[in-house]
Amino acid sequence: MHIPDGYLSPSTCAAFYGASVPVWVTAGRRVKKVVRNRYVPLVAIGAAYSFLVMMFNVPVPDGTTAHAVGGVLIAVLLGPWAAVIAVSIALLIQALFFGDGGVLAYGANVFNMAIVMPFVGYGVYRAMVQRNHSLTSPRRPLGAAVGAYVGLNVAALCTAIEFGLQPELFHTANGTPLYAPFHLTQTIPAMAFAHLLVAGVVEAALTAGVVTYLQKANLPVLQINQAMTPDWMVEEAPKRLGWRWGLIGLGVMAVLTPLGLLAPGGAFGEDAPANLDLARYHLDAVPAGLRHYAGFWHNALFSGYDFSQDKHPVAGYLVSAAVGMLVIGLVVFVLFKVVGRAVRTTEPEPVPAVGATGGRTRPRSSATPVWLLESDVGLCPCGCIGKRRKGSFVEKTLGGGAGLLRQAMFSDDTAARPGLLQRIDPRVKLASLLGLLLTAAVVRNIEVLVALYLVTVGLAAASRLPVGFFVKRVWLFIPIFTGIVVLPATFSFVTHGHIVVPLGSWFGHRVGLTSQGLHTAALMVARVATSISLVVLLTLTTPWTKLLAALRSLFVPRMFVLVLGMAYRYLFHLLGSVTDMYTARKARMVGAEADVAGGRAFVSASAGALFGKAQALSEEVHMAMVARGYTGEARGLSRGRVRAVDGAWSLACLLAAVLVIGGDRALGH
Amino acid sequence: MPWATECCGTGGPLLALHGVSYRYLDRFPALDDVSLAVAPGEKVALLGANGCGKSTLLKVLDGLVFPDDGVYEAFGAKVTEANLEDEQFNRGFRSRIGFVFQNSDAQVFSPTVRDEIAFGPLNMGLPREQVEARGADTLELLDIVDLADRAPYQLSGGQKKRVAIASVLVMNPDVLLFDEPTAALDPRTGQWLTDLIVDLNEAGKTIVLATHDLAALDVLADRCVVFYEDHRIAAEGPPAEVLADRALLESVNLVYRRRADERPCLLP
Repeated sequence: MHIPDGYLSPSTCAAFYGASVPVWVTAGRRVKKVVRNRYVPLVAIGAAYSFLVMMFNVPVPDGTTAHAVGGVLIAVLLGPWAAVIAVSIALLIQALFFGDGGVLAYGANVFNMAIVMPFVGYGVYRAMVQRNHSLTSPRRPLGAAVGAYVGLNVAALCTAIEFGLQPELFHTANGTPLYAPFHLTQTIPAMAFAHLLVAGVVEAALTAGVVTYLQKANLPVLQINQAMTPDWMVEEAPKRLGWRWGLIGLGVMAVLTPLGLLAPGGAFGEDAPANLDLARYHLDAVPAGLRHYAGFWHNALFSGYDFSQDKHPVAGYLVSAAVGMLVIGLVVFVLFKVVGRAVRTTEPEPVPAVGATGGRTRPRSSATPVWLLESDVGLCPCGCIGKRRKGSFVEKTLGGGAGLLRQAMFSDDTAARPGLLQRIDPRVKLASLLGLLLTAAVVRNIEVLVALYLVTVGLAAASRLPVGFFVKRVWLFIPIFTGIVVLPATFSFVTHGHIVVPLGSWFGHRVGLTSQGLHTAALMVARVATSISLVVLLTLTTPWTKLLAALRSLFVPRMFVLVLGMAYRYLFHLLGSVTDMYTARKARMVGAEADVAGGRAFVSASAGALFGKAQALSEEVHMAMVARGYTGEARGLSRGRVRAVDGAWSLACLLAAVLVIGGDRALGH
Repeated sequence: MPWATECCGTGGPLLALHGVSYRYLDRFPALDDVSLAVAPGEKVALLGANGCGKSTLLKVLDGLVFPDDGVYEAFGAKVTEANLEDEQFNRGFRSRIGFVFQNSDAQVFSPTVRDEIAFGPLNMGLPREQVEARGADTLELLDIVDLADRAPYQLSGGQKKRVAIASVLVMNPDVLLFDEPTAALDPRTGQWLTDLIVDLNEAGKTIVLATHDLAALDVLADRCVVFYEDHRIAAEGPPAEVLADRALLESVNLVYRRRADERPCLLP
């Protein structure tokens, strides 16, 4: 659901920034009033948590992936205003450091995921759970789950509408779309499919799971947003979340599934290789061609997933329906099972013995069990450690986490090199690169964009960044997948126009790549690549703290910067914790363990435990800061002073922007 | 400043707890009716088994958690959550009490050692020149000049501890709280830290520390406060006296009676 830069016109982006700013201001005020200073780290944790949740991509039966956001969970725990801040911050870190979602499109992403989603979800939750329901009432996780489901889907709908309106509003004279090329009839079904079927379920299960976990393990967290709750409600014994809710969830899904399937999909947004939905898009229009077409696409797209054995060209949507139901059943089953296990395995630390022990020593068991004194049988006597197995998805996800850590350290490293951009004052750099980003967004000629991109590579070299790494960082991750997403737009059935590469005819229609489509695709890829290069330049040459200080001096509210700084730090602590927990588990495993379900259960169980761990950590770090006089203002040692080089740089950027836009207009269209 | 009129140095205790109780999450007790007074220039050691409330007591003394019952007074003024919201009071209190956490990782959170050390003084509102000068002196004092531009996560446990101590000392507090300062340090670093604490005390700093290091107790403390496992104070006295009272140490589960020779170990 993260909209990258280049998909929305600058005016659309500006409109969404305009819509988001007042909400941020209000949120900052409200959070300060409602959530006390002490809970600020919890908002930061919420942000880090949301970030991590968004990293877990769940496969959707149509071959794309989708992810949960976690916004409704934060809204339920800390109130919707805190959720606005937390999710906004998670999105900002993603946009700045991981190229997930654009910087210009940040306002739109915030609107969808950080504003619409928490408020809609929280509204649903409040409608279902009155204040007089006890904190441990099973209605709370249920309400949270339904809220999360509805919230995520409404957010997805908003995203679909934003995408879908682009070609209507912004196109050249001959109809070539300037930004996102898909129409509403394509975007809405695609987004609805992925989110109604999978992401919504994951979001709901996760939200319910954490709320249930907190009901058993950490009630005070639930009480934060419940200041009015009388104590007797807290004391009530928790009721176990029964299978009933699991079945209800399944039933809801069963009802909704046909909705998603009726709707032909065109997958969009971030991780969606839209090819497949193209097949769906045509299902209704050309039913006779369905068999052939669906089979063709499914071979490509299902390979890599567990259900890839099905190589027969079966009617695509029937397979999808069956697989979809199966996956959902499994997801719901695993998650509900795991929720139970997470609760069972992560009881709070044993409390030190209280009471009668005061005056006497307790008898202690002195007998060491015999088995502990003997070497164990069952391990291979030769001392080998067995064959190395291919990494599971758990391992890969954790590998991703470790990569993230490495990258952050790498950023610190490159930011310390003596290069051109490192010498520029962070505030000037932030403002100027934002200006260039905006420039790139209004350019309509591919040639100009390519030139601008080459300039960014030159800047990278001048800043002593390894150019190979820089180019790879930009091209390997984002634009290639943007390319995949944009690929369908080159076909005649998405972008109508002059067919330059005919691919044959299909039931009387000529099918092929259109010149308009190709142009649109190239324009978008070039624009996205340039935008991401600019952002990567900024983050690789600026230490995190200075970036924070720069944001602060550019009138980003204190609360926001404060939570941002903490969230970033927690992210790494959390990732470290996940890795440690996984390594600890691995170290205790004997023999080959082919139990993927166990791995999945472990991941979900850790998600619950992690929240508890993270909170303990946040308290400690926060205390360490408060102990040294921290009251919420991020202060840095280095003083910002705008020097001649900064002036020269600003001037150069301004000149470049004028040149680029002027050249673009001169080339015309 | 609330204590400006009745400032310390009038002979009263620097820090005073009156019947303080504290429960985590309103459920798990950590301190039960604890009364304690710390005089200026004293070295006080808190002893007790794991989980008896030593760390919580230090957090109360540092104004990080607030008693559920009872009163905490520091430098002649009541320390409450509301009082600490006041910026003047907050600065005055925080600059006078420094806390070295047990977990250096939680305490050392800035991107570089130099930033870490500057964190406290900058929050105190000291001018930058002074912050930089003080920081440089502190780096030298703790022999970590070489580490100034390193990131804390790259450091060893002992180096992190030095940075954590430097980040507190740079604020020049009157009172220093240490939570298990020598835990998890190698013997040489542990000895160095013990010497440093003694030196700081001789320079006039008041020291309160939680420790399991019974061997160094007579050097580290003038007075010991021993806790029961049920979070009450069991006894107070000079180190020699407390260490000699084996029945007391066994009753608080601080030492372990060996099966073979029926003799408490860990004692010098």
